[in-house]
Amino acid sequence: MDEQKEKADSLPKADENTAQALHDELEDLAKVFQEELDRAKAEAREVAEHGTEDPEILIQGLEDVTEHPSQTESVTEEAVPEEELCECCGEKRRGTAKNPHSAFCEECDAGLRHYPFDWINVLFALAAVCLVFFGGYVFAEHTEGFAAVCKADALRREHKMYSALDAYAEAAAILEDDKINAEYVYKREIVLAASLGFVNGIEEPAKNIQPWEMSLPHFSKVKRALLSGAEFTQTVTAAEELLSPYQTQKPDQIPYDDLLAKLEALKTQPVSESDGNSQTASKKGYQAKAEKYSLPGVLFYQYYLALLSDRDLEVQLGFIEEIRETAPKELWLYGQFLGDLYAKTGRDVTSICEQLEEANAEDGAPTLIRATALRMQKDYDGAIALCEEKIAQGSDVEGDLYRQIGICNLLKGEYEAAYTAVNDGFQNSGNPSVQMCNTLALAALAAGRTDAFNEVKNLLENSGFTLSGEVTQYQSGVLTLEQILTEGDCDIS
Amino acid sequence: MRIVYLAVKYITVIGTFLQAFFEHLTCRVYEILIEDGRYLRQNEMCGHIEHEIIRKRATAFGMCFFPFLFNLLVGLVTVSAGAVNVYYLGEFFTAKGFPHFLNFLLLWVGISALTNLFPQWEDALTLKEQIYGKGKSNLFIKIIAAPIFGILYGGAYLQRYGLTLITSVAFSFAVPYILSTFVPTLYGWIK
Repeated sequence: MDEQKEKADSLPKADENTAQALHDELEDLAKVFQEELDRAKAEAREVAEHGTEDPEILIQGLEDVTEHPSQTESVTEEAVPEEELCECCGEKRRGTAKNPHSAFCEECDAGLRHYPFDWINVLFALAAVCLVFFGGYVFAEHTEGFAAVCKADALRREHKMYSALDAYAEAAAILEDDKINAEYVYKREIVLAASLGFVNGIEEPAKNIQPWEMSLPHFSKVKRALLSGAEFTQTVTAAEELLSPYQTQKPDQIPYDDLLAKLEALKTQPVSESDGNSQTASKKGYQAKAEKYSLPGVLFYQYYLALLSDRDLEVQLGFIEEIRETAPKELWLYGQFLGDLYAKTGRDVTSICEQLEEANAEDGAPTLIRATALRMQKDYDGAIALCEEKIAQGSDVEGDLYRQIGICNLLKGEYEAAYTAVNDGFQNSGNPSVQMCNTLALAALAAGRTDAFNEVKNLLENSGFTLSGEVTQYQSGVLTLEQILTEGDCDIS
Repeated sequence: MRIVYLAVKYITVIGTFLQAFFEHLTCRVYEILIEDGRYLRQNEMCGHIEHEIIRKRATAFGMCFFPFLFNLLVGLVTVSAGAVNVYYLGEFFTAKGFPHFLNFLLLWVGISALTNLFPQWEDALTLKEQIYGKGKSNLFIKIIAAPIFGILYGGAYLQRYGLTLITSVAFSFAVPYILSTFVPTLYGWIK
C-alpha cells in the first residue's frame, strides 16, 4: 500500500521528466537522420560524377554489408531456400567443394570433421586409462602367488596329490606374505587334504574363510570336508578310548563282542560337548561342529578290532567293504586295506589298484597290494622285482616295500638277503612301525643274527611294546616261517 | 530387443563410454565427419558415434578395428586382474576382512570393455561392402582380411542384440585358465 502511495505522489514529476526526455531524443534522431541524408546525397553525387559503377567497388560494398549480421541474414534468407541451408548452422548454403551433396556448409563440414572432445569425457577416458595401468600393477603383484597356485593345480591334474598338497601350502604361504586372502586356494587345500585323509590339518586354512561364506554354494565342499573331518576326529577319540587298553593284549584276551557292540553304539550316539567339540566364538574363521560320529570311521575301527582280535580275513573284509558301500568317496580310508585283504584272500586286485592310482599317482599302496598279491601266488621273484622297481622310482612307502622284499626272501629261504632288505626298510623309515620291528626281529632270528634280534626286542620293550606272538612262537619253534607268512593274515602283526 | 540392447549398454556403461570415446578418437584421426557426437543416447546408437558414410576401405577398416583393439586391450588387462583375483584365487576380502571392491571393479570394467568391443552394425556392413563388394578388393586382400573381418562382423551382429555380455562373462571365466597355461612359465623365465 505504501509503495502505491509513493508511486501516485511521484507521477506528475515523472510525466514532466518523460516529456523532456522524449523531446531530447526526437531532436537527436532528427540530427542523425539529417547527417545520414547528407551523406547519402554526397555519395549519390559522387556516383553521378564517376558515371558507371565499378564492379570492384560493388564487391567491396557487399563485403561491407556482411559485416552487419542483421543485414546478412535478411540477404541470405532471401537468396537461399530453407531446404538448401546447412543442417548444422542453418545459415549458409549446404554442399562443399568435395561433396556438393553434403548436408553441411564448407565451414561446418570442416568443423564436424574435427568434432571437439568434451573435457569431462577426456577426464573419464584418462581415469579409465589410469585404471588399466593400475589393473596391470595389481596383476603383476599377484603373479607370484598365481604361478604357485597354477603349479599346484597342474600337479593335482597329474594326480600327484602329495606334491599338490605341498604346493598348495607353499602357494598359500606366498599369498599370505603378499597379504592376499585367496579363499579359493584354502578351499582347494582343504578339499585335497580331506580327500587324502589328512583331517587334522584342515582346520588351519579354514580360519581364513569367513564363517558366513560356508553356507554359500561355492564353499559347500569345504563345509562338508570340515564337518566330516570333525566327525572323524571325534570318532577316533571315542574309538581309541575304547580300544587303547587292548592294543598290546593277545587276541584271545580281547573282549571282541563287547567292544564291537560299544563301537556299534557310536553309530547312533550323538557327540557330547564334553568331547572337546565346543565351538568357541573367539576363534577366527569357521569351526566345524560334529554332532554325530563318522559312520565310515566307526566301521574302520570295527575292522581294526577284528584285526587286533585276529579274526578271519573275511570278517575283516566285511567291515572294509561296508565302508566302501556307505562312503565310496572315502578311498583314503578303505582303499589300501581293501586291496590288501583282496590280495591275501586271492581276489583280483587290479580294479582297486587302478582306483588308488587314479586317485593319487604318488600313493605307494597299489604297489604294496600288487606285491602282496604276487607273494600270495608264490611269485616271489616277481614281487621282489616290482618292489625294487618302485623303490628305484621313489615312493612314500619305501620302508614297506623293503619289508615285502624281506618277506619274499624269507619265503625263498634266503635269510641273509631277507635281513638286509628289512634292515634297509627299517633304516629308511623315519618312524618305524611295530610291524616293521617285528619283521626285522623275525628276519634277524632267521638269519641267526642274535645281536640284531636283541636290539630290536629292546627297542620295542623300551617303547612299551612286546614282540608279537608270531615272532616268539617262531623263536620257540612252535610256528614255521611258512605258517606265519602264508596262513592266517599272511603277515607279521 | 532394443530394451535388452540398451540395458546391456547401461550395465556395461564404462565399456560403452570407452567404445564411443575410441570411435570419436578414430573419427578425429581419419577426419570422418561426425553427425552426432553424443556417447550415451537412448537408441541403437548408444555407445557409438553417428558419422558420415565411409567410402574408403582403409578408413572403414580403421573405424571398425581401432576402437575394437583399444577396448580389447583395456578389457584384457582389467579382466585378467579381476578374474584371476576373483574367480581363481577367490580374493573376495582383504587380509583384514573387508570386501575387496577393487577386484570386483576391475572385473566389471574388464567385462564392460569386452562387451563393447565390436563396431556398430552399419560400420560392419560398410566394411563388408568395402572389402567383399563387387570389384572392391582383390582375392589376396579378401583372404587376408577374412579372420579379422569375421570377428568384427560376427561380434557386431551379436552386439546388436546385447549377446556380447554373455560371451564376455564366459570369456572372463576362461581367462584364468588360459593365463595358467603360460604365465607360470613366463614368470619362471623372468624370475
